Amino acid sequence: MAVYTGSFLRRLLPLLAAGGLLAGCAAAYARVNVSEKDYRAAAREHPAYLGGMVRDLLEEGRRNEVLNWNRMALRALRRGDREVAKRYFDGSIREINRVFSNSERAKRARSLWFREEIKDFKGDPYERAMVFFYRGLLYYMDGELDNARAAFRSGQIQDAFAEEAQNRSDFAVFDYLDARVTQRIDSPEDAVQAFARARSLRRRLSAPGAEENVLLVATLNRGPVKYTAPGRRQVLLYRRGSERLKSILILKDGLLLGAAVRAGDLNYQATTRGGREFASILNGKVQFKKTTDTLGTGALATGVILSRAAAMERDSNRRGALAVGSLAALAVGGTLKAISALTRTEADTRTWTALPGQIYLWSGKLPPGEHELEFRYYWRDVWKPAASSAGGAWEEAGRMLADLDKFGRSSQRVRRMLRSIGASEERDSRRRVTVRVEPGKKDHLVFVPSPNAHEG
Amino acid sequence: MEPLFCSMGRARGRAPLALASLLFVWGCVGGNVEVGRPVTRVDPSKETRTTGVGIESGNIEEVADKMVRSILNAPVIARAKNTPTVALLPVKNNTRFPINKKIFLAVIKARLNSQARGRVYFLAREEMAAIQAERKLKRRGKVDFDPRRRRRAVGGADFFLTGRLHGLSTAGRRGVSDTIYYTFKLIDAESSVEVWEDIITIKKEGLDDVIYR
Repeated sequence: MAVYTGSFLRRLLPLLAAGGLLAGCAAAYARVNVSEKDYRAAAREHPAYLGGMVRDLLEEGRRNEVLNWNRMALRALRRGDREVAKRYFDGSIREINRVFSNSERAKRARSLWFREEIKDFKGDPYERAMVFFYRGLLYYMDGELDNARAAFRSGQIQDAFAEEAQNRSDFAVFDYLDARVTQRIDSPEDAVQAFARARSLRRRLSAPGAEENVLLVATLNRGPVKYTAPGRRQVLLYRRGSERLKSILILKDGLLLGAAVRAGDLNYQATTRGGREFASILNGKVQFKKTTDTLGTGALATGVILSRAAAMERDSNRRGALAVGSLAALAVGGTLKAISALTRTEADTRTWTALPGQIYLWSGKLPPGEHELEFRYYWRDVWKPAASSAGGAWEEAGRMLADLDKFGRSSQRVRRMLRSIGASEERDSRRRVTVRVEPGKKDHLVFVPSPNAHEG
Repeated sequence: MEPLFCSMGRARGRAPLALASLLFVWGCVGGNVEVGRPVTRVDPSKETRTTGVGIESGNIEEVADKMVRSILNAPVIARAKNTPTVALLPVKNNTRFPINKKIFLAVIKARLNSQARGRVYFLAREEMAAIQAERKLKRRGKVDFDPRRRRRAVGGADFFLTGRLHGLSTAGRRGVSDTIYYTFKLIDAESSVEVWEDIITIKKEGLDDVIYR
């Protein structure tokens, strides 16, 4: 009976304490209950297409505010609702730019009892960079080129927080956009260095001519997703998003204008950020968890041994002393096991899932007026041969794309070229994009969202 | 032999429950409760709880204060025989912080108007459409006006007031540092000579909590 009681209590003590604290701590991450009346009142202030995101914003609270604003802003941007997009991106930027030094939530995230995701979401460097990227596009479209450049520079600096020195600030698209604005509003000479940097990172990004007045910014595929592996929840890992589409061709009136150039890859940015400083704190928590668990097991075992010894002791004084000792050991063991069970070591895997995988750019010149362009998407990279391809067809395609005026832009030639390199089109994704070129306007930026991105 | 813990009484058996309750209360009360703060008026020139390394209201106030004092002491203003007229040109932003460009000049203009006491006049170029429409109505006799106030044309600018913000930013594991150079100048609208310029430098550094690094 004593043996049964001892082992029963050995299991019960930590469970009771852990259950109590777990139930309480779960409230820290739980969604707040919002009445239907309050939800409808809030939903009336937002466009209908934001749907369930409004509920997420209300119920997930401050902890996920930036994440939900990002989701809402990107959905608005994809639908062409620039005012709503600006509002939410500006909200996110305000929070991202705040220096969270020793805030209450930061302290909790560092403490033993809370998972890292108790902290207010700001995002990984690549996620923060993309907030500035999109806001910069919106400034650009409004003609506020210097503010656009400021946003791109802020995006670039987010990337500088990556640990691995050789991969710092290697987000070429920001260098290119910074340089392009500088070329337009300051002087071409000032832009030379930034263009050179962009080209050193992405060799197909060349400086646009001064007469080029249209910039198409397109995104493609799906961005990275964060996760942790069982047994190593403190290590943050990134799963690359699917990358089915690899090329974009742009046509006008059936003639090929050109192929968009890859200027950024978020999967690359996410996976090359190197380690996090916070990882050392998580590793410390893991060590603490293991140590308290081991010590707790030892104390419980000691308690059981003492309990058995007490049960077999004939002398009442000694039996009493052994019983007290057993209780003490069991209490300590139970407490240590509870502490171990309650120590949270999981890394924060909250992800802005709506981000694209890649960013593509095309620059060109169009006369004043309205132009309808056609975007076609392909499964093969028209710029780069597959490993098993022979050189000839790819060299021909490359020459054609590099000098379309010489080789001709007709649909027939394009189709022949694409057939020769085995590029299959994603027909259902074809997009028509209207570009309005105004006389006297320095530059026209058109954003074309990914046809296969996660809705977010 | 009776079970050991039954002989110790029920009180001791409740110890684990008490411990669990204590931990429950201690660890997580208020975990997801957002503590609010009532609306209070704050001094725009002071830093707030929501401080970042960017351009904030306190910086704009500081810059405007210095520029106003400096402009009023500029010889072309202080020793002008006739009250000079000034038109505003947009501020140029060469930093990493998107700004509301109109704010700087709006604050400087308002301060000058209140402190200059007639030593400087600003031209309301942003209201030109309304001004031209009103002039047209007057000349057509549609509205009445004092003929002594009639002008052949809308006032021209003696000077342009403009500014430029330059930024130097670095970031890394040791934190982020931003130095912003706020420069403002008066340009003679006839000769293009820069008759006055001043600069103020504001540097900020910060290090985000380790949970964000």
